[in-house]
Amino acid sequence: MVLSNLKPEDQARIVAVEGGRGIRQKLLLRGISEGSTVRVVSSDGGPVVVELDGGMIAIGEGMAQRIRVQRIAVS
Amino acid sequence: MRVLLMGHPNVGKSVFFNRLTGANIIESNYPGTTVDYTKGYMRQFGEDIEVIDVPGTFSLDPKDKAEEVAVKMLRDNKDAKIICVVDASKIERGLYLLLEIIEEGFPVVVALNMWDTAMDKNIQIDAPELEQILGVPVVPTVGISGEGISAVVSKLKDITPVDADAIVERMGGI
Repeated sequence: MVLSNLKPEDQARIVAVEGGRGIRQKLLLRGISEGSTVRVVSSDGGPVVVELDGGMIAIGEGMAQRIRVQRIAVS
Repeated sequence: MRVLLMGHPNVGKSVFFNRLTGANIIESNYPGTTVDYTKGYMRQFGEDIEVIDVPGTFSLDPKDKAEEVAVKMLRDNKDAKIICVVDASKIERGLYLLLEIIEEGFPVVVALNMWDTAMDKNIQIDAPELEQILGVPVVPTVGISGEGISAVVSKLKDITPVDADAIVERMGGI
């Protein structure tokens, strides 16, 4: 499953970022890397907005498709 | 002396700027609030020191307009001293930019800002140890209350560039 598959309010853990050094570094410096958890704020086929560490980041669709995630069950 | 305030977006650089210069520029809790730069002055060490609030940037390899402004500011001010503001509660993210600035040969003081938030989150940072490893002053600060700001300013006087390779060596290599 990739980030763009998630629906608003879903929570997920990042499993892998598939891409070269540039994209991995860009996402890492913004808090997206293996092991970090995010909550989807909006996702509508376009950019995905996620919340992490109290901050928010919008990720373009193409990039969101390269971020492998594992959904976390929300109690 | 000219001082540049650098750091990630949304780490409190503008709050710092206002504290240092007594200015009142808009602070808001959104990243990317400062896309242009602001200049002000503070009187310190018997001289007028120019302080520049640089837009937030994640690295010195610019990915957008605001970052381009930030990197250009740094490159155009080779003789400047840097206050690198790092969000202490997200310290692992901020160290990359800090190392890049050190690598460029600028004298740096590190402000571990939002120290109170880091404490609340139970994040423990050994500032003296970090200072030892980096070879540059590391000062815990709380921008909104002003804690640590005068300590940062006092460190500005005597800072000099440090050797990035020596940092790697102290880390035990990478």
